[in-house]
Amino acid sequence: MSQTYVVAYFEHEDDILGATRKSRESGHTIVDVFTPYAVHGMDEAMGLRFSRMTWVCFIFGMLGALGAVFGQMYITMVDWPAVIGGKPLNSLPAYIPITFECAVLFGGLGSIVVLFARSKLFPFKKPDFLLPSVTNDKFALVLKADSATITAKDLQPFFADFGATHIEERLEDTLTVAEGAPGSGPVHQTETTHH
Amino acid sequence: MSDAHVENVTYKTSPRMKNAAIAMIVIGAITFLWQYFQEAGELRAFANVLVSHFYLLTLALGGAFWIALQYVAGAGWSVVVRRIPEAMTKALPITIVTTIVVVLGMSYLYSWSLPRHPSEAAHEEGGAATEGGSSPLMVSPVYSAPAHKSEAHEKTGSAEGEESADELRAADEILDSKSWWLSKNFFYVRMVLYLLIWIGLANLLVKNSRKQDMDKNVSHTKANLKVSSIFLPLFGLSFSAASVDFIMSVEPHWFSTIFGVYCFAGLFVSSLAMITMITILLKRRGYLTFVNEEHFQDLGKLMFGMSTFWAYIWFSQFMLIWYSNMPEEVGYYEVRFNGEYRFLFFLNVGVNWVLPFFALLPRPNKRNMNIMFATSAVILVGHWLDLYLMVFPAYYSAPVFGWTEIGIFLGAIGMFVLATFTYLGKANLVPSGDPYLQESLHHHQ
Repeated sequence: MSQTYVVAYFEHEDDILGATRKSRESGHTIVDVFTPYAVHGMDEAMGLRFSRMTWVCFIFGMLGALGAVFGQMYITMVDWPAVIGGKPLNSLPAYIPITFECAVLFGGLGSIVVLFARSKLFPFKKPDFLLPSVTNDKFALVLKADSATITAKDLQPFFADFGATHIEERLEDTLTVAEGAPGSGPVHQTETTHH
Repeated sequence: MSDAHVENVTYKTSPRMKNAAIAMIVIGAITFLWQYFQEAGELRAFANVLVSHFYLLTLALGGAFWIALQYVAGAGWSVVVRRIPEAMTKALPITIVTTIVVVLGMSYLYSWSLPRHPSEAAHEEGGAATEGGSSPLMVSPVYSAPAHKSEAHEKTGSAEGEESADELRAADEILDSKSWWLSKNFFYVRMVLYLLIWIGLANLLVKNSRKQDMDKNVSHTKANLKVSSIFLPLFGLSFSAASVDFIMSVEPHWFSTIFGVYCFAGLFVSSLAMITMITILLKRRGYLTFVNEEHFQDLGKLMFGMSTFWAYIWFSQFMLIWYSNMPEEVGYYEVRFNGEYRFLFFLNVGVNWVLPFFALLPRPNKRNMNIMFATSAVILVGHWLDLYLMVFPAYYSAPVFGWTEIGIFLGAIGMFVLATFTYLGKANLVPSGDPYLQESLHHHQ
């Protein structure tokens, strides 16, 4: 038996923020929230834990910096020693610009690669759409219907306060509908990063 | 959050704080006089005033710069804390007093201001504080590190030595080529000009903002946008020139084309630290309840960024001079990097960049008031050290530190606190008429 989901659609940023917050407070399981753009405060409303991307960036940046320092030390002291401008072979200040650039480069590229890997994004991936409008003007909240009491009908008054335009039930295998339409995929709030 | 909640809250000036500030000013004044009347102590007294003067100037002017920046950027989030930089600009009039003291100590601080040609010397006979030829400052024709000229300060030079020093001074072509800018009268004109621009425009910004509290009119925001657009380029030029005048010219043979930017980086990061610190102080006393961790995170981000910017400029200046290794430039770092100042030189980077960098890197730290407060305090102490390292190695081959430094700096802080908190006691703690106020109250990362 496949899992049933309740999908509620909203028109405004504030509505879906309120609906998400209330759903969580009432103990519903939030599967995901789809919005056309990153909504500020949504992480908190959904109760997501803080993104670990910052650590990925930090570690890659440090790797880049250390690699650059030791790489340059190896090049200028061991592999091909050359006296430049009368400076000692191991002249740390001369390494700093390249160290800095490598830290930025590794931090940036490493973050992107890890972000794509974690979000399962890769070139030529076919976009999955819950509803094409969530990349345009609609906001969708997906809840797990984990007991008999939670159905689209029961949740009608619950979401009415927030001006839900439409509420529907979907089975797991119909939740994401592959669309051939070009364009970017939905914004998964789980993958937004903050700095 | 209702509008009623944020309106008409003013800071109640506590008499204890006021008395403490006045006591600090008295301590500063007494320390200055005590140091001045010590045997050969005038130079150290004036050098400390110069450091404190520039410190105050960067904080006060940083407040004005911050306000102008927020207007020009159309920033909404920062409206709730804007009264604090506004209050900081109220310390600008104090710099009139400190500028006068610096000008009084010119013959000690700025060797370029001394008469160099015999005819000039005769002309300026009886001028302020130069005491004829036995001035504490000697000028060598090409740059020489203070390590070599330290004997000059000890006033033990024989008559022959002084004669030859006078001759060298008269033949100083580097100072001749700079004399069009580094001349006393032009210096006075510039001082007046700077203070007029800074105080005039900063007061205009604050006045418009205060008027908006009353009539809630958007036109004041528009007017301030215009004032800010005029202020920012003028600030850029005048502050660069002022940092050359006040600080770089203590070693008139040395030059660094990035010096203005370097001082600006220090100005931005230290004024941010001061804004953060005052905000937290007020919040701890129960004011500014609407300022939350979202605002602190943005302040922290900027502080982090500007601390790194400072380090970037600090290193850019250092590396180019270190790499090219030209005698007229590298002497500046010879005394700091290889001399007695080596420890302080590295400590400077530690407190102004390494520590703030790692303290402010994680997100939760920027949202934590205690960590933000401690980091701001470190940056503010670091800013003093930064200025100390720009000024003192020009006069002393080894670091001098004692009650004089502490006392005079306390005096400057006392004046700053008095001016800032007096203003905070007069105005609403939030610009309640600002069109961006609601955006700022609901600010979210």
